[in-house]
Amino acid sequence: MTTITSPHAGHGDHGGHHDHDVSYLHPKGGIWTTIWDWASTIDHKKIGVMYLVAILFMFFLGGMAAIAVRLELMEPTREVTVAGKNVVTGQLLAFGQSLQKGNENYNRMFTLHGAIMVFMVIVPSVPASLGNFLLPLMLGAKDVAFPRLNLLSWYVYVLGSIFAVAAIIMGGVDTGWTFYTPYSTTTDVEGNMAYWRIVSMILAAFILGFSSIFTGLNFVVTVHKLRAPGMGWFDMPLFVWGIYGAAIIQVLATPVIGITLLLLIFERLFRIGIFDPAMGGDPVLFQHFFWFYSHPVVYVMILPGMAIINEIIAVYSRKRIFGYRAVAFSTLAIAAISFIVWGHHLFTSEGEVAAVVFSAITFLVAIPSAIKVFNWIATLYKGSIRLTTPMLYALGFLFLFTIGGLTGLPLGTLSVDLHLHDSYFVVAHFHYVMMGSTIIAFIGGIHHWWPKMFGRMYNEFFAKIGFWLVFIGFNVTFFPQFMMGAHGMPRRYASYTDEFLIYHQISTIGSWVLLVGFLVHLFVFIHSLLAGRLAPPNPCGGLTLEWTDAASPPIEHNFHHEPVVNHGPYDYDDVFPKQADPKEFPMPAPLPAGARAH
Amino acid sequence: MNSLLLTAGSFSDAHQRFWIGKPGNSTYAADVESAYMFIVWVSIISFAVLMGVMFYFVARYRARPGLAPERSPAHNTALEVTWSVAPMIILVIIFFWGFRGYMKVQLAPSDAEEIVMRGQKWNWSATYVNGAQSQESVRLSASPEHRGVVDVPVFVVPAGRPIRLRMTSADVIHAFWIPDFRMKMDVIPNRFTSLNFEAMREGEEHEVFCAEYCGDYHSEMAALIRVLPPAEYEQKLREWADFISKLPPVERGQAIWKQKCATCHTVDGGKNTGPSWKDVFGEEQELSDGARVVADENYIRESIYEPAKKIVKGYQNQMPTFQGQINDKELEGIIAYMKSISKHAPAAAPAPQPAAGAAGAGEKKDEQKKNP
Ligand code: HEM
Ligand SMILES: [Cu+2]
Ligand SMILES: [Cu+2]
Repeated sequence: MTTITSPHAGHGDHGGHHDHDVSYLHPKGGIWTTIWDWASTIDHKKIGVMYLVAILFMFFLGGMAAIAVRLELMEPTREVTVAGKNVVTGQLLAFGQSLQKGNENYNRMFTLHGAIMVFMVIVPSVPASLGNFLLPLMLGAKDVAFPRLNLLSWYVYVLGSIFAVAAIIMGGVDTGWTFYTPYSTTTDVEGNMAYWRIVSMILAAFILGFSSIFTGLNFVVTVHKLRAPGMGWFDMPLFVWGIYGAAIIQVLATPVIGITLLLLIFERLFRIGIFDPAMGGDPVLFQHFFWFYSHPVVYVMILPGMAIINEIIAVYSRKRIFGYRAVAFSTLAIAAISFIVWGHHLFTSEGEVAAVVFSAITFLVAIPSAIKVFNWIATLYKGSIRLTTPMLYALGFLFLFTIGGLTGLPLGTLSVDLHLHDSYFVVAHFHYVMMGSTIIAFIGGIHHWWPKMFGRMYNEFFAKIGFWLVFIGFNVTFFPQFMMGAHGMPRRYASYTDEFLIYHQISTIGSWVLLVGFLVHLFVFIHSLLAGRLAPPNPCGGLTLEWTDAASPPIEHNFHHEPVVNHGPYDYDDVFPKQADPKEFPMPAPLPAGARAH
Repeated sequence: MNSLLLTAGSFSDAHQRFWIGKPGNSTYAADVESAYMFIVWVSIISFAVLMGVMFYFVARYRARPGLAPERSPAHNTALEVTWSVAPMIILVIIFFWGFRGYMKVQLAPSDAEEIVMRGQKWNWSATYVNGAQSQESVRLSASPEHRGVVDVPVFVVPAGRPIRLRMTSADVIHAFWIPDFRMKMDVIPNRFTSLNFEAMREGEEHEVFCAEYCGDYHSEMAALIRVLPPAEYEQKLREWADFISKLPPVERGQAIWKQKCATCHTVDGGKNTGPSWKDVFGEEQELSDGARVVADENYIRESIYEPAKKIVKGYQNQMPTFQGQINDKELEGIIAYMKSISKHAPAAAPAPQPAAGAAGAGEKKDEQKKNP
């Protein structure tokens, strides 16, 4: 499998004599032509970039809502006597109106934050943007299996987001992103606007589900059918494995939430009595349906994040991923087990037997996650580690994901969860895994593939400053929430008793640091697009096809010739990357006689 | 040696306080805390080992001139099997630890005393074995200068006796969480759930929070539990059972308002979730369908028992029914109280002063606070 010479070495440098040999970013004509070209493109790279822009925009919206939520919590709602008069403090979001209004605004704000971040940011984040861009490149294909379906999924995503934004403009929704019944079927029932905005938000989630299914389906078929000649299943980069595992879950789990959301809408519109106890329905049934989708989906969120980490760690330590097969199989194991643990979200509402079974299986799913962490750390052993921005993000991921995973343990423990459920401890846990892991990996991945996507380098110094602000800001924001929750602070509270004051204030201050960190990254990206140094084809010395066989940025059809794979994605010990600078990436010394490398 | 043990003890004490707080006050709490602290230790140790190794590798193998990557095996079966099996063993221990505690709280002793706990937007009401209901309320975090914004009920439980809360909700799902008892349970409409506990130390007070999101005043849906010596507990129940029925009608109405209605209805004309009661009796009301009715005794009765039937314009259909919650005698009191604060009811007695002198006056000392 491993040879040093490749029959195609050097072919990537072919000049661009044909039209389709120019960079995919090259404008097709005037401004309108170019806009039409993008809007009607079936090029997976453009669609990936369009997704990236849309997702980052939604991330910004959701982030602003988060800042508002944290601001409200800077001070608890208190009645104080000033000069003989009672005034209410800590009601920032009331804008001078009543206490009830303030609470209501707060509720709408955290719902907005949660719904955007889950349905419009984290679920599509890595697969739809980086996955779209990279999957065909890594497999040596010209495009995904169904390019038109791919474009449709982007429009469906935008349509879903429009429904969500419409719901916000109509006044926002106060159900929480989980839409638990019977609250969601009985709130806001008076007045047309109020009535329909919830339907609009539920429809948004429903529509976004289709976008997710289209993408997932596309990726599964692409991985099965479009691998380059010579690329067996175990020659695929682990990025592809992660995206593949997530895609399978997307295809299998999303229809369930689709049906559930439809039932919810029918319940609201026609009062059919599936979930509403007032009509003989079962309110907990909704939670089962909901988590049957939403637990597997946490792995749709994390597997692609892990997928990125594989690539970054391998490239920047110049090592083969330790235990490649174990990592690949644990991806599939996670995908499979994730379907049978949903009940751990209902320990406080379901029967005893079910709770015990779900607790047991939940611990099972922790093992493959742990194995992955061990493998990544072992990969660093005897490597040649370069602490670039993506690598800092990958190490940050290991730090934060370890905390996120370990804090899943008390939540999976029956007795302890009766205390911790629906507290800030859960809030902290899922931020460590969703934001601390997936979003951190996502940002690391954007930096890693930025030169490939846009053909320009970014400012390493400021990007690193951005990393440290994000990393520190994140921990300052969310670590106190573990203590807060264990001490008794419930989630989704607009106010609190004084014992939680100090934790909330630290947390709010952390959120400002985090905000500044993200703004620094935004600045780095814009600066790079406008004034960045032109990127060489393989600035990181990677061995996967997007680095070795494609230009930066790639040409429209990705490769001049269909790549032939004759080495593994991480064979740094034996292969020198094409298109890389030999001065920068030393080859390891040969093994002493008798020793076996793998 | 002794002092060494002592230091170790106080360290582990402070350590536990840092992560979860001072020891809880139910027989169940110790189970939760021990399992939790075990997991905390497992986590701290595994985190330290993993990050230690990671940082060591990063420092040791950091790329620098002249340092080429070395070859190393790409997998190692023995190592991989070890690190798959070792966590499994720890996880099995944790699972059983949690299972044991959980079963203990699920299986209440058969002699547990039952208290019916009812959740509704946005307050809790408890009915004790003798039919008594709480007659006291407080502001959480009360200090004269810095206090909560709503009155929450005070409940009592006996120390050292098993209690079973039989809980249900009148509207959406709530959850009854007593952090200091380390337990919570969902409170679900059309269904009973239960929370079993035995409080240990008498004289302590514990906050109760609603832990399942339920709307506007979710964060104000709280209560305070006082743990009393059993004799005092019995005494309190008798006092509360007699309290309301012994009051004259207007005071009776006011007491019920405070207990059940004050989260949503003011009596000073201020707008809240529901219309204020001030001057409502005898006034013409415009309904959401445009019809007009005069708020007389029958209208009030209907509004309490079938609140969804007529909605005053400008308000939402938020109020649950109080059918079975408020009896005729209490209804009479409410009507009398509403008359007393309405300008349209000239015959009514003047608004009552805080119930000084009435039965059970002793525990109404925070009366003024509740009536801003
Ligand atoms: C070691 C692996 C993990 C374990 C054992 C675990 C366990 C749990 C448990 C038991 C809960 C329910 C807690 C409660 O509501 O009382 C929970 C909540 C949650 N977890 Fe995890 N988890 C793990 C990893 C992850 C990952 C990788 C993600 C996402 C990327 C994730 C996302 C979430 C979310 C979003 C919630 C809360 C949902 C909500 O109520 O809004 N978890 N976790
Ligand atoms: Cu889950
Ligand atoms: Cu609540």
